Amino acid sequence: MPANKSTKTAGPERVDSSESLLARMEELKEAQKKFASYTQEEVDHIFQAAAIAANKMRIPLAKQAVQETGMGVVEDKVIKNHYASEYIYNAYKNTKTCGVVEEDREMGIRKIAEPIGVIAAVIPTTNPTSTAIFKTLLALKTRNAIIISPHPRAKNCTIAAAKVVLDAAVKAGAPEGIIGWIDVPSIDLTTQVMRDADIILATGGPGMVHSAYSSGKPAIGVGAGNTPVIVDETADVRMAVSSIIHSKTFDNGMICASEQSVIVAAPVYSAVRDEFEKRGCYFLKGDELDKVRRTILINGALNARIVGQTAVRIAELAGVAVPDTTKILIGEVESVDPEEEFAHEKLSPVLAMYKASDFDDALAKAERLVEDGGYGHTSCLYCNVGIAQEKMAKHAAVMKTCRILINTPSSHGGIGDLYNFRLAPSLTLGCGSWGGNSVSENVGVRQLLNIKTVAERRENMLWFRTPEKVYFKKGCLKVALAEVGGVLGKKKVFVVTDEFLYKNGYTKVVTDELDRMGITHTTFYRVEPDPTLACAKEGAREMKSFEPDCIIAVGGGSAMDAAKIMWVLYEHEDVDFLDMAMRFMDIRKRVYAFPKMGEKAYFIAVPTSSGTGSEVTPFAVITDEATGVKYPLADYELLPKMAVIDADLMMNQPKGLTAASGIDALTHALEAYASVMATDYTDGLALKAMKNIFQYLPRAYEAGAQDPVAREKMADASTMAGMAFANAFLGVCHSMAHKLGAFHHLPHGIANALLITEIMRFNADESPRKMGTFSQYQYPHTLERYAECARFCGIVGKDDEDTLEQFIQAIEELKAAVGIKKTIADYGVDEQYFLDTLDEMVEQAFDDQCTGSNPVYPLMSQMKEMYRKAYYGK
Amino acid sequence: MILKNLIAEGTAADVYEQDGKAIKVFHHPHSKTKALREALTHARVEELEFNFSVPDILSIDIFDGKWAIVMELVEGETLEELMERNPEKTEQYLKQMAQIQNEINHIQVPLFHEYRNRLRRQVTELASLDDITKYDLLSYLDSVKRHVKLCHGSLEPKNIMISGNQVYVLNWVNATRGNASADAANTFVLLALHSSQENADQYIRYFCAESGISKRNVQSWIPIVAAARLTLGIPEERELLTRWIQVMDLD
Repeated sequence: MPANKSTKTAGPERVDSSESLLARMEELKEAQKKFASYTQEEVDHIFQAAAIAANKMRIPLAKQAVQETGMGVVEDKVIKNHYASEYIYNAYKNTKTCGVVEEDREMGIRKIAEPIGVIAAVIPTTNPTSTAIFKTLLALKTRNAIIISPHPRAKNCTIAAAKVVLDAAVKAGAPEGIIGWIDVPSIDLTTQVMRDADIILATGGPGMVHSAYSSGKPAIGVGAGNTPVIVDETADVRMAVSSIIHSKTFDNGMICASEQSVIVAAPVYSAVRDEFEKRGCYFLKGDELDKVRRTILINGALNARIVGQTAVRIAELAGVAVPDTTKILIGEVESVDPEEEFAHEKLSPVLAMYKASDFDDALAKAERLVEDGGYGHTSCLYCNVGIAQEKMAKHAAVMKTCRILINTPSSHGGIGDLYNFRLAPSLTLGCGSWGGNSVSENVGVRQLLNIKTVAERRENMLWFRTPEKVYFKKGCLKVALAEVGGVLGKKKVFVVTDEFLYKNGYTKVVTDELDRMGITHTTFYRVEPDPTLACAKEGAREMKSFEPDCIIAVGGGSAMDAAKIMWVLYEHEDVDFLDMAMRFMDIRKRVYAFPKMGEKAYFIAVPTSSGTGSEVTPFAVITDEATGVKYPLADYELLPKMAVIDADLMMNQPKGLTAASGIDALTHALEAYASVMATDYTDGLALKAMKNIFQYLPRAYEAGAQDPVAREKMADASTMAGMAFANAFLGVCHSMAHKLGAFHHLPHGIANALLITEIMRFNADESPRKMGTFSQYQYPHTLERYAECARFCGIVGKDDEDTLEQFIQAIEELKAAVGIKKTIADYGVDEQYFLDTLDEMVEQAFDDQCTGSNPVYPLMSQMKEMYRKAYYGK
Repeated sequence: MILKNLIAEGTAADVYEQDGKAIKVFHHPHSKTKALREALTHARVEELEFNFSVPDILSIDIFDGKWAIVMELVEGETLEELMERNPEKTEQYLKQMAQIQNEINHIQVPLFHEYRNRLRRQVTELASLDDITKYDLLSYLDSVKRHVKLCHGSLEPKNIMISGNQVYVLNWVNATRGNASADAANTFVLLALHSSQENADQYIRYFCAESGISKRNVQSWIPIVAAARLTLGIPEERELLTRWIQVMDLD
């Protein structure tokens, strides 16, 4: 047993004024401060001792409650007190409520439970002692202090219950004064206590609950019910009727979940009626109905004199003679309108009974009754669960109640753990927003804790994705194609290319080999630069009639991109390009789920230029010729299954293409290396690609087919850079190049070439306006990263800044060596038109998919400035 | 000057007719605050626009050392008189009153005194009420959403006068800002006490149909306005009002 850690703080003798309440609140706060440091073990010991003490006092407290309030049944109140102590203890005895309650080291997350402080507990007159036991036990388990605001009608018994729990808790080591109460309750003191507490736990009339919510403090307030019960024709009538009687007579009908109306299916109506009569209920006849109506309600409000009285007593008040063993007064009524007195909550053993023509009629009646004063509370259905599943589902869908009980007495059922053992035991039943409450479940310890979440920084999981096979080396095409017929066993191949390549025999190498293997094939050769949706649709139509099991794209970025889109349309006819092109922040968290690819055809990409890397990337761009909208698609589903890098197909690239696509590949490598998503896996590929380009691009440009080694090194560089950016993504240079190309018809490689060095300076800023957001990206380090690239390419300055300068110089020289002009203006872009479209271009570039992985998150004004510099060269 | 032509008697003041004017003379010589406050409230009501008329205050005066409000004299028959004379037209008169009440309630008057404060004070001060009932009534009162609608505070047939084709609404001494449902509940109580229970029940229906306010909402105010009315200490009202207060907010 833990030592009593408390020392007595002098509190007031009685709380009967604003000043004495203030003093008590101070005392509670002090006590709670001490309590907050208790361990789980100490708390659990106190919780148990208090529960035992309350349990022992269940009979005296029940007697006192009935005596003081003049309502309810002693024997039933004994059950409630017993329940509040034993069931609440049992439900939470092993629950962690102190300190670390949950931990996942791998994911770096830890949850810590903390007390809230001082709870203001509003206690109702209908369940005074049990609710006081319930709330004080919850407070002890959660290391909170609690101040009870009793209803004046039940103040003595409520205080007595709280005192039993307090005394036992203190004896078990809890700080003295951890539980308090208002001795002389008044509205002013109740208002004050709600204002000064840290949280309000209000059970009671709608007025009190509204006041709790409008107090300005966090409140858990739960309200009234008007429980309708449907007895379906499939129900077990004896079980249903006895359950209803059992529940409705419990504590003379004062449980808020208690049945108020029974709606009986016509086929079993007389059986139900007979059973009620047989078990001692009284059906009101003739003018007796009106007499009871006038007695239970006064101007639409519940007559205080009938609450919690016996059926016999209520009959007497109404002037109706009934047998003195009568358990419930039943009014057979028709209207579910609030004008009907029997349709209200009655807090007494008075019940309305309706006949329903069918199940839908029963549901409609129940729905209306819930609407009238029972929103969010409890509803009930008796049926044969074996055959009435559909009715149960319908009932559950229609009822706006937070507890929907099946074949269960609702008073006992609603409070949980008596007729269903997964419904949490509670004497405070949340009614959700329908009932104007903040909680919809049965209130327990969870609502009385603050849970702190400690989240450690973790790195985002990454992967490396690339086609399952990448063939390379000069002349590898035939070897790769042999696999199509052999290992892969493909029968029908659809070749996609452009007219130039087709007419110049580039695809003949492929088709000859297919012919040799006896594979059927057809060729679509109408792909044009910047391929259109119309072109892709045309190709897809041809695919649909040809039904290939393999697609081979032969060409540059356009042919490969067009083929990818045809592939998508061939496999999934009804895709929406707007959805597929939706921007994402993280490709693995994107909203749109890209359709599964490869179920109809295997995709092989054979590049004929060294630049785009499309053969190994999950990207494709397509233009809607009707609207001019470009759809940049990105998803690993678009990744080719096989890439074939055969320099033989690239030998005769024209000089301009060699230069532009070579510089494009360089920007791929540079941006992938600077990306916030760069990894060791992509870095190696990017570095080697850059080095190849510096070394071999001028040779490939000058000598072309005469220097097959340079061609092959450039082919490898392009594909390696492709692999790097397929996984690390790109940056602002590509964002801006995409739009510059689109607005001013510059080849993609040239657009990148004009911007890259400007962007490198921008990214190398050690103190950027905003850095990129990615878990792994810890601080701006791009200067250092560019310097690494430079040194790998053999450029070494005296420090990082100097190295970057020399690196930029080298890139400018490389560009010049391959005939690339210096500025956008040099390419004949009209100055006025450029300036007129600049803002729009900036906004679109900012929103480009590539912007998100840039190490510096750009402001639009900064992008505008870079465009201007790239235009004028200064 | 001596006032001769007494036309109405009240607990706090009497009304005389003089030179075509109505003169409300307060009994107590120290009624300065009362008179000026009533005049102010009335003057504020005069500034509002209604489809009915409100008699004008012409001046504040002192007669024989007593404070008095001099008003436009309106001659005609009150709805109370008309209901007595034409009982078959009761429905029409009650509906007319419901329309008037709804029109009054539609005006927002943030500068008026708050109805709730008056009710709260009356309930709190009511010595004959036990603490438990007070607690229940006040907890309801505190929980209701605050509105700033004009409430007449004493709307009943005797305060509506038909003069030719003009309708006058009289006696604005209890006008406040508050909830329309409270004002209607008050009228319900006044009708039940001064007219009949049947007329009171009908009136709630007409009012709810006219205003779109739920009957339950209006009824929820009855215990409070009944308690407030009890403070007047009128013996013959005591039994009914006490019965209406004994209700319970659902737990």
